[in-house]
Amino acid sequence: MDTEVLETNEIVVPKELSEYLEEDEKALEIFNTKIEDVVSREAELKNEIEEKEKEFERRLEEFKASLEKEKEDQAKIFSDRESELSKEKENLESIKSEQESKKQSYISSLMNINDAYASKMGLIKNAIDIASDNESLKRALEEEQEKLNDDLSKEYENRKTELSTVLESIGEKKEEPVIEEPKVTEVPVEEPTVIPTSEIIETHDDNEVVSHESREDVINEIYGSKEVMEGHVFPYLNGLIGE
Amino acid sequence: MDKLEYELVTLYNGKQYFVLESLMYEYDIYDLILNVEEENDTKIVIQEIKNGKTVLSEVTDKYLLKTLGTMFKEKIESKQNNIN
Repeated sequence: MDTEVLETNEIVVPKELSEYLEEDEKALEIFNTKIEDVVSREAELKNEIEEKEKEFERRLEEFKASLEKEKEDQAKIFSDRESELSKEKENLESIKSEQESKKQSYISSLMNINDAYASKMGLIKNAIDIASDNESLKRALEEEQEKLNDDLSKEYENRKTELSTVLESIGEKKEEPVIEEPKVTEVPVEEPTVIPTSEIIETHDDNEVVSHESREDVINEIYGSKEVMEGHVFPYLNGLIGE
Repeated sequence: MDKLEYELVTLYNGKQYFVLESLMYEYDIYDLILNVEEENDTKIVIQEIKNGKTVLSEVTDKYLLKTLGTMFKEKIESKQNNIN
């Protein structure tokens, strides 16, 4: 039998192989699809990371701005408070100065009262001594002395109340100085019962009497001396009188 | 206040005076004083209390000096008459 081989371009694929290849084709498509999904997911994740980074940056900037603002606010509060405290300090200094001035004025006023009182009491006591033989005058002077003591006592109470009020107003009640109340019963001439102002401020006057001693004998001699009396004393008195 | 009549007083400035007479006039005490070292230095002074201390201040009011001069003169003359 003769065999004739005919030329042809047709590739004859066996059926099994064809099926296999078809399956393979599908698998490749699936792989490609999966790869595309992964690439897409990667891109999504990349975007997501970028977004988160941007969000973080934004929030960081916000936080920094908020911190800066808080810092500025605190600085302003501190500055305001400092200013308030400075004003308060100035105010307190002013009050302190004013109170110190009032205190000095008060002490000065007490010194004047004290001096006036001591002077008057000395005069009255001397007058009582001089009028020792005149009972009615002596009684009148003693009454005057008693009245002066009462006046001083009232003045003391007034001043005490006034001082207490002032000290309460500046919150120094606890530091109220103790003022010795003057005795009103008896006032010896040699040592007045009021507090000597010399204990507060030590001052001297050129004409202050620092000592004295009895020299009645010498004075009597002077009285008997014509040279002194007729030569100096009477001419001086006559000059005053205008004789 | 100290009674200085017939006393030898020493002042803070060191000067010394004899107090020849003292008198009270309108609740003030006045002294007629004579300087120990200068006999012709005679004055009328008022006794005052300053800072709790006795101070002698010279009287300068002419009218008051005339009144006090008269009173001192009468007092001294009276005393001299008694001595004599």
